[in-house]
Amino acid sequence: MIKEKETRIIQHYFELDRYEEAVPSIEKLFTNDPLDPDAFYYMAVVHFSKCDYESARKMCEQALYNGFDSVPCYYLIGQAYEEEGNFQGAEEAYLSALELEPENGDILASYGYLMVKVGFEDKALQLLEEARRVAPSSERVNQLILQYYFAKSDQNQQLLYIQKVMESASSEIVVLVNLGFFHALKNEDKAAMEYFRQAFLQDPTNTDLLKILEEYNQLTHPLFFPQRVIKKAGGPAIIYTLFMVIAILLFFLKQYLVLLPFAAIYIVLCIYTWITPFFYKRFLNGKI
Amino acid sequence: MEKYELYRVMIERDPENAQAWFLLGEECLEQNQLAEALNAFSLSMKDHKMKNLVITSLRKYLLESEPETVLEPEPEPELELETELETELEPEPEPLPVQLKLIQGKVVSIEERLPKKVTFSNVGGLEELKKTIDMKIIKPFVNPGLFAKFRKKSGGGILLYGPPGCGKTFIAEATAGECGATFYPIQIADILDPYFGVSEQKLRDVFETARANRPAVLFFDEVDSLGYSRSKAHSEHTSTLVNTMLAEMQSIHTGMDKLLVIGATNMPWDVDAAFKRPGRFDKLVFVGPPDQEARKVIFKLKLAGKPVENGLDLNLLAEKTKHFSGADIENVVENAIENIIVEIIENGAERLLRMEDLLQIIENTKPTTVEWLNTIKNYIKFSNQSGLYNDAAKYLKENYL
Repeated sequence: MIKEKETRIIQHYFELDRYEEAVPSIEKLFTNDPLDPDAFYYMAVVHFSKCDYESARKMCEQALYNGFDSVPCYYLIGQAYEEEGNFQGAEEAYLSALELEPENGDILASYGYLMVKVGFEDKALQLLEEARRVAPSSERVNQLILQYYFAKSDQNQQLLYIQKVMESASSEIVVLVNLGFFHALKNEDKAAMEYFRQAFLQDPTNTDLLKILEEYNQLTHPLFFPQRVIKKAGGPAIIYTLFMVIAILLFFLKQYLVLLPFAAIYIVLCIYTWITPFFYKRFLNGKI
Repeated sequence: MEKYELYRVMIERDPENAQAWFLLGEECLEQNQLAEALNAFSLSMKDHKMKNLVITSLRKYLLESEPETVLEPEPEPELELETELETELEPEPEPLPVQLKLIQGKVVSIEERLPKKVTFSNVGGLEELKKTIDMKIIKPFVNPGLFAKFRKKSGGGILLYGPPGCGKTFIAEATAGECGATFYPIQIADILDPYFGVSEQKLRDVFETARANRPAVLFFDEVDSLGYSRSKAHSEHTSTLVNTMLAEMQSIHTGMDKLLVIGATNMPWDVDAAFKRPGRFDKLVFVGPPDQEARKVIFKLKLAGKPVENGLDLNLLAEKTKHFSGADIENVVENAIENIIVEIIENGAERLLRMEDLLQIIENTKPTTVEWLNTIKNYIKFSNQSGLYNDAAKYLKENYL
């Protein structure tokens, strides 16, 4: 009964993505049975969530040795190796898992994305296609295929897979983030920012989302209006060329009275664009 | 037994007949059926006039039964001899290295064993927070008259939020103490059950128990893990728990008074939005890091009974520990003590805890509340359109930014 109760609490915290809060219950499982394979696996997940990949692997190997289901163990070991940058170890673990369960879409997709990382694009595409065939509604599969198209900079496929991820998403936050990307790809900054903002409100501890929001906040701030105009005109290089052409033309036409204020305005604009990011960071950023 | 049957018939005809219950109780006492007698007497005492009669009857019974308990059969002489022989034959036990003494104690009354009632007098500092809770929670709860006149309900739900280790649980307990209500602290482990539907039933039972024992304060610690946002949850289990809790809280709103539900959370953004609507946790109270006065009190409490040098400047310690939570201050004191113990073991020279020891630890310690304050700062920056977190924003503007 202790095991069932504690397992329920552990699973509850895992469902909420609060892995560390499950630790006291996992420790109770260990007290109940020091060789409990479930406890080792749960602890491996906790270590993985804390980015302690070596401990996660060791715990998972122990869980495997003590009789825990092999497929999730090999899958987690593979993911840990991948995060550590040991792609060979990751491949071996994924292959071990696929040997036992060849039609597991999530593992196929993870293996496929690993191939993207190591540069075997044909094999990656083949694996991702296979993953899509066996698990078309898996959130993870669609997410990894989307990441593949992000890596390939294929905008049409990106938009298609953003929609697919949204259809298969289990939580609202995934939908909102993807809607943000959808609008960002279409250069609809305001709509993108609004979706990212809503996603951030769901999880304010997400630092990646905070970074995106800070960037959008800066982009849309009135202080950066000149920068936005310069960007729309084609960037600082175009503006500089334009200034030089006009300045030289005015010089040859001997229109010094126009040239001087024109040059002064350009210099002020340059100084303004240089100092505004500093001013923004120093006085405006982080204020509520 | 004839009398017994007769009284039973009388009671069956009129269960409110206090005299019949009393007579049944007396009859049971005569038959030495104490449990039944006490039950009958307690039912007869619904009529207050019977109280004296019951007491007299019980006193009489106790006096009559006393000699029986006092008189114990004297041990037979032969048996006594045998035991004497046995003791002579047994070898003398070796004296223990430490002489154990019988502690001269006193009989501990049940009152001392019961949990102590906590009130705001036990909470050091935090005057503004106490005032807020007094106005928002205690006054409507204790004096509902004025509020009823304006058709404002007492009871309902309050959500305490703030960084971890800042005394949300203690504040909730003190609030219950101030309201003169029974305090029911509930943890997630009390509710969750591996079997389908049992967790929801347990949650309903908790509310039922609190309702039966009004006035009561139901305190849900880490309410975010129980009432987790349904839009973020990955499974249906969480949703059913949230729905049950919402229904129970809604029922307080409609019919019940004198039942207060207090939730505490470090992550108010994870609490389902439905809980923050009127009728559920309709008041959000920010419990921030302790102010200077509170930190002074915490230092005083944590250093009490420890070997400290005279003249510790508590004001300076409180000043140097801005944004420190109660748990952080406890950690500072514990680390300082630990360092001294290590030093004494290494040098062999005993000394008292000095001001410098504490200041050195404070310098090397970062308050754990900072991360939380940064998170809420970003959250407020991008969200606080509804003004839900105005008090946290006020704290940040005054103390943090």
